[in-house]
Amino acid sequence: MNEQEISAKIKELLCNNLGIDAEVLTDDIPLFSDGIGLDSIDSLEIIAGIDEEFGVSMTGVGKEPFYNVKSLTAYVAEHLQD
Amino acid sequence: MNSFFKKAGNGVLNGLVHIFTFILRLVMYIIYLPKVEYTDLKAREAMKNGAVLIANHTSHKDGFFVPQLLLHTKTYVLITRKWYDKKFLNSVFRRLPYIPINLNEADAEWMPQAEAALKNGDCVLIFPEGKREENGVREPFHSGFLLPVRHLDVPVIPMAISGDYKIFRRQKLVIGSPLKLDLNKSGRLSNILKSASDICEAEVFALADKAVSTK
Repeated sequence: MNEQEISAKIKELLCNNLGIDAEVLTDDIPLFSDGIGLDSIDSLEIIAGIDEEFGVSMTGVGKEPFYNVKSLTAYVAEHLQD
Repeated sequence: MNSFFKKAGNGVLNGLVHIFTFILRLVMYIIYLPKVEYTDLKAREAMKNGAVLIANHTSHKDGFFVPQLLLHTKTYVLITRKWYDKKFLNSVFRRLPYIPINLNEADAEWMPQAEAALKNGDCVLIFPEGKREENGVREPFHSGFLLPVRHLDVPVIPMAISGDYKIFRRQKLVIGSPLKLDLNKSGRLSNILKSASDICEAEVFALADKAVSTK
Protein backbone atom coordinates (compact mmCIF):
# COMPACT_ATOMS: atom_id res chain seq x y z
CA MET A 1 0.00 0.00 0.00
CA ASN A 2 1.53 3.35 -0.97
CA GLU A 3 1.26 6.62 0.98
CA GLN A 4 -1.49 7.96 -1.26
CA GLU A 5 -3.69 4.94 -0.58
CA ILE A 6 -2.95 5.14 3.15
CA SER A 7 -3.81 8.84 3.18
CA ALA A 8 -7.11 8.20 1.35
CA LYS A 9 -8.07 5.47 3.83
CA ILE A 10 -7.19 7.69 6.80
CA LYS A 11 -9.32 10.51 5.41
CA GLU A 12 -12.21 8.10 4.86
CA LEU A 13 -11.82 6.88 8.44
CA LEU A 14 -11.79 10.43 9.85
CA CYS A 15 -14.84 11.47 7.83
CA ASN A 16 -16.90 8.33 8.46
CA ASN A 17 -15.98 7.69 12.10
CA LEU A 18 -15.56 11.20 13.44
CA GLY A 19 -18.06 13.06 11.29
CA ILE A 20 -15.51 15.47 9.81
CA ASP A 21 -16.59 17.29 6.66
CA ALA A 22 -14.54 15.84 3.76
CA GLU A 23 -14.21 19.26 2.14
CA VAL A 24 -12.24 20.77 5.03
CA LEU A 25 -10.05 17.73 5.59
CA THR A 26 -6.86 18.53 3.70
CA ASP A 27 -3.52 16.78 4.24
CA ASP A 28 -2.10 19.74 6.15
CA ILE A 29 -4.91 21.05 8.32
CA PRO A 30 -4.15 20.45 12.04
CA LEU A 31 -6.56 17.85 13.44
CA PHE A 32 -6.67 19.18 17.00
CA SER A 33 -7.28 22.57 18.68
CA ASP A 34 -7.07 25.43 16.17
CA GLY A 35 -7.55 23.20 13.13
CA ILE A 36 -10.43 20.72 12.95
CA GLY A 37 -10.80 20.86 16.74
CA LEU A 38 -10.70 17.17 17.58
CA ASP A 39 -10.39 16.07 21.21
CA SER A 40 -9.12 13.12 23.25
CA ILE A 41 -12.18 10.98 22.48
CA ASP A 42 -11.59 11.48 18.77
CA SER A 43 -7.96 10.43 19.21
CA LEU A 44 -9.12 7.15 20.79
CA GLU A 45 -11.36 6.53 17.79
CA ILE A 46 -8.47 7.33 15.44
CA ILE A 47 -6.22 4.87 17.27
CA ALA A 48 -8.90 2.16 17.23
CA GLY A 49 -9.66 2.81 13.54
CA ILE A 50 -6.01 2.73 12.48
CA ASP A 51 -5.42 -0.45 14.42
CA GLU A 52 -8.42 -2.07 12.76
CA GLU A 53 -7.69 -0.78 9.24
CA PHE A 54 -3.90 -1.13 9.11
CA GLY A 55 -3.00 -3.29 12.12
CA VAL A 56 -0.77 -0.47 13.39
CA SER A 57 -0.90 0.22 17.13
CA MET A 58 -0.70 3.89 18.11
CA THR A 59 -1.43 3.46 21.79
CA GLY A 60 1.06 5.41 23.84
CA VAL A 61 2.68 7.28 20.95
CA GLY A 62 3.23 11.01 21.39
CA LYS A 63 1.15 13.82 19.93
CA GLU A 64 3.28 14.42 16.83
CA PRO A 65 1.83 11.70 14.57
CA PHE A 66 -1.67 13.03 15.26
CA TYR A 67 -0.86 16.55 14.05
CA ASN A 68 -2.47 16.18 10.62
CA VAL A 69 -3.35 13.63 7.95
CA LYS A 70 0.16 13.87 6.51
CA SER A 71 1.83 12.96 9.81
CA LEU A 72 -0.67 10.15 10.46
CA THR A 73 0.03 8.79 6.99
CA ALA A 74 3.78 8.93 7.55
CA TYR A 75 3.44 7.10 10.88
CA VAL A 76 1.25 4.36 9.41
CA ALA A 77 3.51 3.97 6.35
CA GLU A 78 6.55 3.67 8.59
CA HIS A 79 5.02 1.07 10.88
CA LEU A 80 2.92 -0.86 8.38
CA GLN A 81 5.60 -3.44 7.68
CA ASP A 82 6.54 -3.90 11.37
CA MET B 1 9.90 -30.50 31.29
CA ASN B 2 10.22 -26.86 32.24
CA SER B 3 7.12 -26.01 30.24
CA PHE B 4 5.21 -28.79 32.04
CA PHE B 5 6.08 -27.34 35.45
CA LYS B 6 5.26 -23.84 34.19
CA LYS B 7 1.82 -24.98 32.98
CA ALA B 8 1.15 -26.93 36.16
CA GLY B 9 2.23 -23.97 38.30
CA ASN B 10 -0.01 -21.66 36.31
CA GLY B 11 -2.94 -24.04 36.71
CA VAL B 12 -2.41 -24.19 40.47
CA LEU B 13 -2.20 -20.39 40.67
CA ASN B 14 -5.39 -20.06 38.62
CA GLY B 15 -7.15 -22.42 40.98
CA LEU B 16 -5.86 -20.57 44.03
CA VAL B 17 -7.00 -17.21 42.67
CA HIS B 18 -10.48 -18.57 42.02
CA ILE B 19 -10.68 -20.13 45.48
CA PHE B 20 -9.47 -16.83 46.96
CA THR B 21 -12.17 -14.97 44.97
CA PHE B 22 -14.84 -17.39 46.16
CA ILE B 23 -13.81 -16.91 49.79
CA LEU B 24 -13.73 -13.13 49.36
CA ARG B 25 -17.21 -13.28 47.88
CA LEU B 26 -18.50 -15.23 50.89
CA VAL B 27 -16.88 -12.76 53.28
CA MET B 28 -18.32 -9.87 51.29
CA TYR B 29 -21.84 -11.35 51.46
CA ILE B 30 -21.49 -11.77 55.23
CA ILE B 31 -20.00 -8.41 56.16
CA TYR B 32 -21.65 -6.07 53.65
CA LEU B 33 -25.13 -7.66 53.57
CA PRO B 34 -25.40 -6.72 49.89
CA LYS B 35 -28.72 -6.10 48.21
CA VAL B 36 -29.43 -5.76 44.50
CA GLU B 37 -32.46 -3.76 43.41
CA TYR B 38 -33.70 -3.71 39.81
CA THR B 39 -35.87 -0.76 38.92
CA ASP B 40 -36.58 -2.53 35.62
CA LEU B 41 -36.20 -6.28 35.10
CA LYS B 42 -35.36 -5.65 31.42
CA ALA B 43 -31.86 -4.81 32.65
CA ARG B 44 -31.39 -8.34 33.92
CA GLU B 45 -32.43 -9.72 30.54
CA ALA B 46 -30.23 -7.25 28.65
CA MET B 47 -27.19 -8.37 30.64
CA LYS B 48 -27.51 -11.86 29.17
CA ASN B 49 -26.69 -10.59 25.69
CA GLY B 50 -23.82 -8.26 26.44
CA ALA B 51 -24.11 -4.77 27.85
CA VAL B 52 -21.92 -1.98 29.12
CA LEU B 53 -22.59 -1.45 32.81
CA ILE B 54 -21.81 1.98 34.21
CA ALA B 55 -21.75 2.96 37.85
CA ASN B 56 -20.68 5.68 40.22
CA HIS B 57 -17.28 5.02 41.79
CA THR B 58 -17.27 5.29 45.55
CA SER B 59 -14.48 2.94 46.64
CA HIS B 60 -11.66 0.68 45.45
CA LYS B 61 -13.95 -2.19 46.45
CA ASP B 62 -16.51 -1.33 43.74
CA GLY B 63 -14.67 -3.24 41.02
CA PHE B 64 -14.86 -6.43 43.03
CA PHE B 65 -18.23 -5.82 44.69
CA VAL B 66 -20.41 -5.33 41.60
CA PRO B 67 -19.42 -8.46 39.60
CA GLN B 68 -19.95 -10.61 42.70
CA LEU B 69 -23.58 -9.49 42.77
CA LEU B 70 -24.20 -10.24 39.10
CA LEU B 71 -23.50 -13.93 39.08
CA HIS B 72 -25.96 -14.62 36.26
CA THR B 73 -23.56 -12.96 33.81
CA LYS B 74 -19.80 -12.78 33.34
CA THR B 75 -18.69 -9.24 34.04
CA TYR B 76 -15.38 -7.81 32.92
CA VAL B 77 -14.18 -4.76 34.81
CA LEU B 78 -12.20 -1.91 33.30
CA ILE B 79 -9.41 -1.13 35.74
CA THR B 80 -6.64 1.46 35.71
CA ARG B 81 -3.13 0.18 34.99
CA LYS B 82 -2.01 1.91 38.19
CA TRP B 83 -3.66 -1.00 40.03
CA TYR B 84 -3.52 -3.70 37.38
CA ASP B 85 0.28 -3.53 37.11
CA LYS B 86 1.03 -3.69 40.83
CA LYS B 87 3.35 -6.60 41.50
CA PHE B 88 1.16 -8.93 43.59
CA LEU B 89 -2.20 -7.72 42.30
CA ASN B 90 -1.18 -8.26 38.67
CA SER B 91 -0.93 -12.01 39.14
CA VAL B 92 -4.49 -11.92 40.52
CA PHE B 93 -6.04 -9.48 38.04
CA ARG B 94 -4.71 -11.19 34.93
CA ARG B 95 -6.38 -14.44 36.00
CA LEU B 96 -9.73 -12.75 36.46
CA PRO B 97 -11.95 -10.81 34.04
CA TYR B 98 -10.28 -7.42 34.41
CA ILE B 99 -9.30 -5.22 31.46
CA PRO B 100 -6.50 -2.70 32.05
CA ILE B 101 -6.58 0.86 30.81
CA ASN B 102 -3.84 3.47 31.02
CA LEU B 103 -5.52 6.71 31.98
CA ASN B 104 -2.35 8.74 31.48
CA GLU B 105 -2.24 8.36 27.72
CA ALA B 106 -4.56 7.81 24.76
CA ASP B 107 -4.90 4.09 25.38
CA ALA B 108 -7.24 2.25 23.02
CA GLU B 109 -5.99 -1.27 23.75
CA TRP B 110 -8.82 -1.90 26.20
CA MET B 111 -11.38 -1.44 23.43
CA PRO B 112 -10.83 -4.66 21.42
CA GLN B 113 -10.79 -6.62 24.68
CA ALA B 114 -14.02 -5.00 25.86
CA GLU B 115 -15.62 -5.50 22.46
CA ALA B 116 -14.62 -9.18 22.34
CA ALA B 117 -16.29 -9.68 25.73
CA LEU B 118 -19.43 -7.87 24.59
CA LYS B 119 -19.59 -9.87 21.36
CA ASN B 120 -19.38 -12.99 23.49
CA GLY B 121 -22.51 -11.87 25.36
CA ASP B 122 -20.62 -10.84 28.50
CA CYS B 123 -20.87 -7.50 30.28
CA VAL B 124 -18.24 -4.84 30.77
CA LEU B 125 -18.34 -2.69 33.89
CA ILE B 126 -16.92 0.81 33.52
CA PHE B 127 -16.70 3.66 36.02
CA PRO B 128 -17.01 6.64 33.67
CA GLU B 129 -15.95 9.13 36.34
CA GLY B 130 -12.46 7.72 35.79
CA LYS B 131 -11.57 7.99 39.48
CA ARG B 132 -13.10 7.53 42.88
CA GLU B 133 -15.42 10.16 44.29
CA GLU B 134 -13.51 11.91 47.09
CA ASN B 135 -15.66 12.96 50.07
CA GLY B 136 -18.79 12.26 48.07
CA VAL B 137 -17.86 14.78 45.36
CA ARG B 138 -19.01 13.41 42.01
CA GLU B 139 -16.83 13.63 38.94
CA PRO B 140 -18.08 14.36 35.42
CA PHE B 141 -18.30 11.35 33.11
CA HIS B 142 -15.65 10.81 30.44
CA SER B 143 -17.43 9.79 27.27
CA GLY B 144 -14.85 7.22 26.05
CA PHE B 145 -16.88 4.38 27.59
CA LEU B 146 -19.40 4.91 24.79
CA LEU B 147 -16.99 3.96 21.98
CA PRO B 148 -17.58 0.18 22.27
CA VAL B 149 -21.29 0.92 22.67
CA ARG B 150 -21.19 2.82 19.39
CA HIS B 151 -19.20 0.12 17.60
CA LEU B 152 -21.47 -2.74 18.68
CA ASP B 153 -24.79 -1.03 19.40
CA VAL B 154 -25.13 -2.70 22.79
CA PRO B 155 -27.26 -1.29 25.61
CA VAL B 156 -25.85 0.73 28.49
CA ILE B 157 -27.13 -0.20 31.92
CA PRO B 158 -26.84 2.49 34.59
CA MET B 159 -26.17 1.40 38.16
CA ALA B 160 -25.66 3.07 41.49
CA ILE B 161 -23.52 1.76 44.31
CA SER B 162 -24.81 2.94 47.63
CA GLY B 163 -23.21 2.53 51.04
CA ASP B 164 -19.83 3.13 52.60
CA TYR B 165 -18.61 -0.48 52.94
CA LYS B 166 -18.95 -0.40 56.71
CA ILE B 167 -19.04 -3.83 58.34
CA PHE B 168 -22.58 -5.17 58.88
CA ARG B 169 -24.09 -2.11 57.19
CA ARG B 170 -26.06 -2.89 54.06
CA GLN B 171 -24.32 -2.14 50.77
CA LYS B 172 -26.72 -1.67 47.86
CA LEU B 173 -26.53 -1.91 44.10
CA VAL B 174 -29.44 -0.26 42.32
CA ILE B 175 -29.80 -1.14 38.64
CA GLY B 176 -31.72 1.10 36.27
CA SER B 177 -33.37 0.59 32.90
CA PRO B 178 -31.20 -0.27 29.89
CA LEU B 179 -30.43 2.79 27.79
CA LYS B 180 -30.51 2.41 24.05
CA LEU B 181 -28.47 5.29 22.70
CA ASP B 182 -28.35 6.37 19.08
CA LEU B 183 -24.62 6.98 18.69
CA ASN B 184 -24.40 6.43 14.96
CA LYS B 185 -26.35 9.50 13.90
CA SER B 186 -24.61 12.03 11.71
CA GLY B 187 -22.52 14.77 13.26
CA ARG B 188 -19.23 15.16 15.08
CA LEU B 189 -18.42 12.09 17.14
CA SER B 190 -17.25 13.97 20.22
CA ASN B 191 -20.49 16.00 20.36
CA ILE B 192 -22.67 12.92 19.94
CA LEU B 193 -20.80 11.02 22.65
CA LYS B 194 -20.76 14.03 24.98
CA SER B 195 -24.56 14.43 24.87
CA ALA B 196 -25.09 10.68 25.33
CA SER B 197 -22.58 10.66 28.18
CA ASP B 198 -24.49 13.50 29.88
CA ILE B 199 -27.67 11.41 29.69
CA CYS B 200 -25.87 8.42 31.22
CA GLU B 201 -24.35 10.60 33.95
CA ALA B 202 -27.78 12.00 34.86
CA GLU B 203 -29.23 8.45 35.01
CA VAL B 204 -26.49 7.08 37.25
CA PHE B 205 -26.53 10.01 39.67
CA ALA B 206 -30.35 10.01 39.81
CA LEU B 207 -30.20 6.32 40.76
CA ALA B 208 -27.53 7.09 43.37
CA ASP B 209 -29.69 9.87 44.87
CA LYS B 210 -32.70 7.55 44.91
CA ALA B 211 -30.68 4.80 46.57
CA VAL B 212 -29.62 7.16 49.37
CA SER B 213 -33.14 8.50 49.92
CA THR B 214 -34.71 5.02 50.15
CA LYS B 215 -32.11 3.53 52.52
